[in-house]
Amino acid sequence: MRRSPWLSAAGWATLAFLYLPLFVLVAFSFNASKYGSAWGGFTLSWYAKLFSDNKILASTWNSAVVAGISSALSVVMGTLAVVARGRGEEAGGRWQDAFFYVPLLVPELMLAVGFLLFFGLIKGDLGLLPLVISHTTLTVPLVWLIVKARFEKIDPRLEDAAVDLGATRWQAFLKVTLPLLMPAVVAGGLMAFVTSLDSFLISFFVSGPSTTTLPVQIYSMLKFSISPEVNALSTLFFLASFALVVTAWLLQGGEDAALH
Amino acid sequence: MPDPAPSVELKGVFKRFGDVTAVDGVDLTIRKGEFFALLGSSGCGKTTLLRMIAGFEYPDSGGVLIQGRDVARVPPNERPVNMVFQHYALFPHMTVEDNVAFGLRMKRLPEAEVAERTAEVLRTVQLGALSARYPHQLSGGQQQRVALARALVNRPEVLLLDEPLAALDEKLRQEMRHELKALQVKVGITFVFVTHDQEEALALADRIAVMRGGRIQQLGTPIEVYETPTSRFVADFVGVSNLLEGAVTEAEPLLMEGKGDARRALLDVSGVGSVAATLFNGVKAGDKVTLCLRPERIHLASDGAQAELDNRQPGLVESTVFLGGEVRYRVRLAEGRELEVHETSSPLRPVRRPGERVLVQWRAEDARAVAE
Repeated sequence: MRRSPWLSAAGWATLAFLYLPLFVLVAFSFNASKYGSAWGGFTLSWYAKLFSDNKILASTWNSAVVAGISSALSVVMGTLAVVARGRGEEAGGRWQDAFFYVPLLVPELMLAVGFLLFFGLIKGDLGLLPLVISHTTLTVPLVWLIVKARFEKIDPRLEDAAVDLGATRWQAFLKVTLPLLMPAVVAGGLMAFVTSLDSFLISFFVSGPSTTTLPVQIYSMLKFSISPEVNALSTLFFLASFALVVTAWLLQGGEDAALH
Repeated sequence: MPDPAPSVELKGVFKRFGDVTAVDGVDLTIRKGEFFALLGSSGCGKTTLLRMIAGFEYPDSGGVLIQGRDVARVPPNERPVNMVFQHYALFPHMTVEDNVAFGLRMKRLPEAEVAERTAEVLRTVQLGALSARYPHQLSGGQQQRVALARALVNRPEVLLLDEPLAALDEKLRQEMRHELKALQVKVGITFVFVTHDQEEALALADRIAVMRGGRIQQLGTPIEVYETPTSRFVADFVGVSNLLEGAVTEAEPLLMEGKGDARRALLDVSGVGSVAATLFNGVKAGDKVTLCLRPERIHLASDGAQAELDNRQPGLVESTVFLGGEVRYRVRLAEGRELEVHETSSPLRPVRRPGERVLVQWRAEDARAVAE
């Protein structure tokens, strides 16, 4: 059946609606004019300036460290949680599922307030630790969701077959189940990394003066004025997130043929 | 030469899952080099029994012996048995070669030996050319051969097969029967397989255990199970039977060598009349019995022809199905009972039309009565 041209136009219009603000952002990051919304010619100077701004470099480093550690932690914890829960449909497992879903839907602000209180109880300078812990909390359910979807597609008899052929349960997991889970584990890790990078609310509540993350830094720069430097920074930020999300998406789609 | 130790012995094995008794006291000896079938419909306990030999289930009580060693509580990876799973369970992320080599690598054999034995077994199942393929690039029949190779390469004492041919289409299934039988003779390993398909059990097995409700109903060669069912259930489950209820009017011992306790008897069968039959298992005069009459052992002759066999009844052909090699009839006897009759088609024998009057006859030794 031929699709109506109106219908496909509607699809493209929705996409345009989604990406228009981003196009504006990207365009203005190349704007030579420092103030307002007038176009003053093409320049790369805002990008050059980014790389000489110590505050930005420091917060970028913080963001990368926090995202790296917290996504690694959530990959390990999320995957273990999926495997430990197994395939059973008993009430215990079902309740576990529900409690893993809930944090994905709880407003981030609630988690942020909770963490603010929690870390307030602990005195002393903890460095990046509060950010790592809170971001891990934010991203474990995400990894869990992605890995679980794949785990459920893997035939449990594959592990039985490995054990039948002389493997211990642990060897069967390492040689059969884990390699088959890997695309989802990597995709989950990438999604966790992006989520941590993008997290503003939790970071804003939990970070200290020396532990500013990139989104918090951008926000504090905006308090004074919308500088083209922020546009350039946001553009790079957007591109990095976009690349990671697309990679994660491709990984989840691939290799499914092999499972059946 | 003394008999080698049996491959598998089950001694008083019980297994319950919650309220359900899956295996209800099974004693069974499977000889070395035997092709053995566990036959039954779903829920009869045959798969649980197989999984207990493999080690995926432990019996609640009773012994599981492999080569004389009790392995009832030994995990699957430490038993000298390998399994061909239903739908094969090939590792999708490994090539054919790596799938087959898996068991040998788990045993940490030198890589040169792994390569040699893998190549050898792949030649045996005629898959040498496909060793670099992935399972999803193979046809169903090829996947099954990989599953066989992956198990056989370990030279197990017993090869277990869970519904080995169920995932194949009808034509391939017929072909694989021959292949599987030839393979078992070639490798000389004890094969134990589970099936719900009685034809498959008859075609492949040296001996069959017919199971029902967690127990073995009858154990014997395909010919014994088919020709001398000891219960109405087995007569009905294995092959096609006309099952007729009746009572014994007269019975006398049948003095024939090798016939066990078989006796010649006269039965009164409702809808048929008086029938000369053969009795088994201590059935005596006055007992209620079920008469089992195989459709291919009933013969039709033209109305008014000279009767040749012990039992003869006038009948009327109700329907005729011509299948090429065989003709299937429904024939109603004068006393009212309808019988299924199969005849091999032949140019020397007329195909009877519905409405035709015929003489229906069968031998007393083909009419077997079992206690109801």
